[in-house]
Amino acid sequence: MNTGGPLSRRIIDKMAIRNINIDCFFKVETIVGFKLKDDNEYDRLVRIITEFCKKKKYKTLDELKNLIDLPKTRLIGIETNSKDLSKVIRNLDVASVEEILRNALILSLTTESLIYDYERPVILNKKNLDRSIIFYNIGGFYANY
Amino acid sequence: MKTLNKLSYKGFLNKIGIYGMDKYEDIILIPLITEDPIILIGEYGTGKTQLLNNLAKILNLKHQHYNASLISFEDLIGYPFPNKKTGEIEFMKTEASVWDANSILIDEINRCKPEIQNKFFSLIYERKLEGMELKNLIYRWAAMNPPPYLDEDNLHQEYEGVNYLDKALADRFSMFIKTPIWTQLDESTKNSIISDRLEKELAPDKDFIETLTLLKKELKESLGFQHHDINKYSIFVADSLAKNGIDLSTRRVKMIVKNLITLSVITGKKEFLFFYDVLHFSIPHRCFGVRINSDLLKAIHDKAFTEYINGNIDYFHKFYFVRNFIQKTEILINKIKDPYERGLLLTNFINDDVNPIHKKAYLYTLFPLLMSGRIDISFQALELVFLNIMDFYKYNIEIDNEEENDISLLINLNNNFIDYISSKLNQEDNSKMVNFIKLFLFKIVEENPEISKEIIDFLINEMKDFCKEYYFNEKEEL
Repeated sequence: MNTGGPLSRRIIDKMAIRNINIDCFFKVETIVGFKLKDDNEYDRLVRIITEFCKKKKYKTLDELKNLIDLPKTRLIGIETNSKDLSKVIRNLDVASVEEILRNALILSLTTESLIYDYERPVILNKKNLDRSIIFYNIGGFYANY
Repeated sequence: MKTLNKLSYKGFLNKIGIYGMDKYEDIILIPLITEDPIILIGEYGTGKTQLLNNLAKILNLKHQHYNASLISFEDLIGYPFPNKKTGEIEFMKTEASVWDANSILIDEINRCKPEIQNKFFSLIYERKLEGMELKNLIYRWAAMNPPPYLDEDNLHQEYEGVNYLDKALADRFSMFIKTPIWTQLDESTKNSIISDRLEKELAPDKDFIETLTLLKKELKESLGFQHHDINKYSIFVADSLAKNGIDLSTRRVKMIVKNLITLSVITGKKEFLFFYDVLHFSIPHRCFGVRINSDLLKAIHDKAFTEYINGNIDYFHKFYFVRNFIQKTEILINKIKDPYERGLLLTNFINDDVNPIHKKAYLYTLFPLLMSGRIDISFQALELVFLNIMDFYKYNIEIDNEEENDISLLINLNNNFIDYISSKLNQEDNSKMVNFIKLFLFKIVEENPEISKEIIDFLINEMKDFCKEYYFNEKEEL
């Protein structure tokens, strides 16, 4: 049992578990999120989107789905606190409308349990938007083998 | 003329203070109609004696309850005395003697001496004692604690003085009904049991007696016909078991046929799950310590039923019944077409008291198929499936991000299991599949350090076969 030391074996196993990790096992499909400084910023974010819809004469938020290229497959998400994710929007002034809309739509189509589904209705609220999520394509598990 | 209301017996077990066996209500009715002898097998305190004694009360039977480990033969027959007129020996009836009884319960039947066991032969099978017929005796019931399996270490026998039942004696009983232990009961049943504190004075239940009388009449008529489907089913089962080293006597096969016909009379239909339960309870081998592999029995039943019984396969229930992951998924894909029905099935499966480790392993392995839409299910069900297994999917990512979890993982895992799982899986050349399965198994071992190697082996085989079938054999279209 002790040959080579149990610790050395543990390290090997640890590496094996890490092998499963992220992009080589389940493909990272996209990373989205908002980390805005306060509630006013989130109000502003919702205003930007609703005004955009008014300008386009959309009757429902769902019509935005046709405008932006969104993933069509279901994805599962993992919330992250990582600060170095460049795709997470921290300042609305420096982000393009397309970026804002894409991030907001994906988050709005993601349940509380962190499943993204294109077919869901768009639900725009602060709770949905105030998240940073890495999305994995579990369904593509077999596809790229 | 009175007609039979098939539902008039429903709930009779609860009425007599027996909880947790509701799903076997139809099956317990079988020996009450055939009047064939049965044994209840169960751990101490599982209500075996209560069930049989209380049944006697509601059936208004003159009932005698004997404890086989304490009994002497004289207790059964009373005191012998010579009849002066005829010159023959007769037996003086006592309160405890068996002569006038309508029903007898021989408790702890496997604790008595072999010579007493021998005396029970004719009593149980022919309703005779000392060559004399017991004209009033209808029901012969027995109860016993389960003896250890022959393939187990007998040094760790749980019950002192528990013997194996003689094979020939066991073969006289038509059914062997198991009573569930506390940990197998669900919360509401546990609650019902402990709330039912008052000893009920049970009165004869006229409706129940009438129902039994009508069912007995119906059975008599039904036994007058040939049941070719049940005959073929039983022959196939007996032959298949024999091929696997489990021999059934001719009498046993006839008993299985009779029990199945009775079941059909009671339920009015031929149902997949009930047939299995009756088959399972009609095999005596537990009494003499022979283990029957339930997967084998299920597979034989599945084949026999599908092949020979023109009955009703309830795929919802069959989905729970089969343990093989691929077979389960075939039902999901081919037999249930509607995404909402599939969702409903999986929701019920999640809420059912199926073995939680098997359940999680199956859902974990199935999940990519659901996510990709290759098996279409309702979104609500998909979400529920995910909630049940998300810990496994998030596991690797969490340990990567937080060093603390990483360390706790290494401390908690049982090294012997890591070695075992790795040795079983590392021969596979598909590293993606190996890691997918390992991830699950490492976490399940962490959560259940007492898990057995048999379960690990089962999971590895099922998960491997499933992955090869659906993910890695280039079978793109389902």
